[in-house]
Amino acid sequence: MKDTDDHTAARDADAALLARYASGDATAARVLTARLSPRAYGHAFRVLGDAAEAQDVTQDAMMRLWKQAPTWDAGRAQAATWLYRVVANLCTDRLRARRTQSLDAADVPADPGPSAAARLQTAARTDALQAALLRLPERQRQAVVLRHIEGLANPQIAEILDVGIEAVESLTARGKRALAADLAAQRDALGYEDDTV
Amino acid sequence: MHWGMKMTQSNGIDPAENSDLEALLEAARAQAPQMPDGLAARIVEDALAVMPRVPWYRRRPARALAAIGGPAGLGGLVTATVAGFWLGIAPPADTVDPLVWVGAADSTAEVYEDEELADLVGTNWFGDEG
Repeated sequence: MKDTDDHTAARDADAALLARYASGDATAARVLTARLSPRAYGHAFRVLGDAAEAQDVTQDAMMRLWKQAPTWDAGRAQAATWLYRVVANLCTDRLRARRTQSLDAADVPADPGPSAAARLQTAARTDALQAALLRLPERQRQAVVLRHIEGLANPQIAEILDVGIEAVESLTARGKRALAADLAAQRDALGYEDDTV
Repeated sequence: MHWGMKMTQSNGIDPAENSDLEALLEAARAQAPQMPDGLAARIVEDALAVMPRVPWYRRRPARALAAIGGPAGLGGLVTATVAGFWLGIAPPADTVDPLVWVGAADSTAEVYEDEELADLVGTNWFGDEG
């Protein structure tokens, strides 16, 4: 019940800010940027594993939000949910483009995992999780990030990924199992025994 | 970490592996990717570049209305204006004459009879009918 209230309050607050922005209030643009863009960037980064691409996706998604503002319907989905959906679709497009490029380029390895992991600059264990996430099938990856890292509820994820709630449950369960198995298999290669001393 | 210890399966995931995975996910939740410097500023720049420009003549009435207390304030203002206008046209007979205050008129002025008042205001609201 509280989640529903919070969701409604957030939806109303975002809708009010979008209305203020649409009436020429620059402060509303700054507040919306602070509220929404870090979540958009976080999701894009987790799914794409590339900071530059995540920046482009975030900027593109926010631009689409600004253009929607004058016709925004206060009763529609929460702006954050709408934005996650745009980000998810933009990420899907980029991942598809990457696959096409990989097929076209003979010298690029088919498995993007190691190269994606090598690009990450975060701590070793975050690298391990991020690398394992990048080895998941794209839909499972999106669902796991939204559920287990962004902390969204299944109905919201279903709306973002445009699937049913049962499909979300299946995607997150399979994704989590695959992640656990992957991380277990990586244990020796990642040197986790060293830090138990 | 317990990644080398195989235990009984629980919901398809080894409990130790599940525990380790939960720890990693918890750490990921606590340490969200930080937006690079300048990205928020670029997003705000984009927003301002495409922000709808509301014409001044559409903004000003709304501001003026807000300044007088919104629709309720406007209603009160209209009522007071109409009432004042009417009192100016047809002041009550027993209204204190400001000229008396400044000594320019006789304070013992006659009180209008109903018939005289009717002549002044054009209707005999105060007289007996029939």
